[in-house]
Amino acid sequence: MNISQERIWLILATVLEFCVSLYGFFILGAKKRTGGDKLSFILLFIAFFLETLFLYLRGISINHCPITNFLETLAFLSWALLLIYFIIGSTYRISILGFFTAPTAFLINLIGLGGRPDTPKLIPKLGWMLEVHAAFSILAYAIFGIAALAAVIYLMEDKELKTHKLSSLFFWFPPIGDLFYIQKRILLMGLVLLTAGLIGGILISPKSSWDWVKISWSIGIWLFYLYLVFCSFLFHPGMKRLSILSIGGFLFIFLTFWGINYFSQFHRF
Amino acid sequence: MKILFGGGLSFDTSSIELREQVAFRSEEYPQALSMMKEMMQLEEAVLLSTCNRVEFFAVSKDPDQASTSWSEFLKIYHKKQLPFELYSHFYKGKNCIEHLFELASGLKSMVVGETEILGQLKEAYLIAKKQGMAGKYLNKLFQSGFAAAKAVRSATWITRGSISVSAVAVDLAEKLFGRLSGCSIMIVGAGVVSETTAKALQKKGGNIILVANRTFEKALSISQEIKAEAIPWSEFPNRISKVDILISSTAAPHYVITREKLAPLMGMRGGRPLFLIDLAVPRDIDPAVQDLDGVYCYNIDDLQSIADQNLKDRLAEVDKCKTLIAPHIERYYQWMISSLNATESGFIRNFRIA
Repeated sequence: MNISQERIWLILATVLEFCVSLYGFFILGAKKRTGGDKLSFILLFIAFFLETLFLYLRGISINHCPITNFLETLAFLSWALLLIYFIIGSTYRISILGFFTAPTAFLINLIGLGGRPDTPKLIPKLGWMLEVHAAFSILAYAIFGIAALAAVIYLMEDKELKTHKLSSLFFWFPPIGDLFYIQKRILLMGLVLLTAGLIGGILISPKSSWDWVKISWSIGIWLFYLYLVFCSFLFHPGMKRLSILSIGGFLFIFLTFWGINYFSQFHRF
Repeated sequence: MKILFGGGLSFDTSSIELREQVAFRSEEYPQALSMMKEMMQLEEAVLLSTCNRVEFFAVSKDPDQASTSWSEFLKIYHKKQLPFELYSHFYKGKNCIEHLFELASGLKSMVVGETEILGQLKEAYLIAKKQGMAGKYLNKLFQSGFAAAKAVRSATWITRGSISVSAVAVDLAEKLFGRLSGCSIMIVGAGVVSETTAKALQKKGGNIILVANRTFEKALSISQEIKAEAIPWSEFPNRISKVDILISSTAAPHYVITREKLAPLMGMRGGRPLFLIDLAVPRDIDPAVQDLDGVYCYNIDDLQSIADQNLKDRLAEVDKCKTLIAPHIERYYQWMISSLNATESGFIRNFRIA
């Protein structure tokens, strides 16, 4: 199977994510009670399977973990978002998270598919550590993405509870106390993976040519999430503040990741 | 010619004083059913007695005579000489099917959409079935009714949202903390509504741990009743950090919980939300506490307005429920017609009474 054929699976997954997004808007907007959360779960699971298939086939084609170009990186990020959603959503029974994850994954794939040419990049032979570095870092960003989505849900629920104006959406919200614990735990999980990813990156970097722009950016991100995790576990900041910072953190990563990589010799797509 | 019919007394046609004269305990059903069968000449019967209604569903060859005997049966069974016939209503054929299906779906309840009635109907039906009083027609009728109720509940919002102050408080607490087991509750002041609310929370697993009142003896007496700890009035502000839910209903003319008192305590809560229920008039809790992160304060008007909105939402669903029930009614009706046709062809036109 050639590279353009592999893309079909990703396109199909993107279409499914779009359908779940539309369905989510309909279900959450309408005052209607249906088994919508189950259907969206199934559709998202199929999308996840298709994305897995795309990444698997691409991995075989390039003989490397498929995080070598713009499309692959975004596809891996949206795949990781879905993976984390399935873990978190099923563990804590947050069906509404699926309706927020679907449009995010859809947009990420859309940007990837409509962005730069899908040409796999030649990767230096640095062994499995390079793949660990890339995969763990992207997985960590996906976890921060899910934490940001949980934070959005928290802020919406908090607003309804504070203003006493309960919309039909209110009945979909999980307990607000649970959202607090979920955020704390997944931020910790993300930080652990990011740490592993960064250590992997440091181990494979030739000391003579350290990429200071990328390293500074990564350490900045790491310190920011370290602060969030420490604060949430030790100093108990207001949940609202934690949520705003969590959303801001992920937006910052998503918006600056590409620009920073442009200035990085080893990360340029 | 067999005819399906039913009737009895319900809250919309008779007063509670009358209904309480004829209420049946579930253990009385078998005896009452036997007596009904004999007096009303019934072939099949199910008797239902709840706080809102005393009704029956039956199959008989002479429903008019049976309806007349219903009042006599109540008078003899309960030994009360009251004009039950004046307050009883009866349904025949399709109207009876419609009545049961709407009843099972909670559409005919005093509190529209309540779900208790379905359990009560199931119990009544099982007792009748066990006694051999539910035969071919009532078995199918009740099974279809339960299926219709299930369809209505799963496809509409008819059961969504509580419509009493204490139940709304429980719903909100569950939205804040998830399961209430492990949630600690403090009652500040004494009042009927606050005790009802605390008990409703306790029923869901909440743990009432502290009671504070200006009169310590009163706090002590309440705490003994609900097995909680009574604390002196001066201590309660410092103990707020230890509880998840605080219900306040004092007679104080000013705020007893202010933003200034609460703000330093929030940092000691480990990020857990705090649910404040202010049932006092004038209010006990300064509304400015709402500005604090993680504090959710509801007064009696807030809870009542949510309850009212929930009731409006439920009533808005009634037409949708009826549309969903209609095919179930029609299916049962057609089955009954064809079933009667098979056994009593020639008389079937007379069945279309309703």
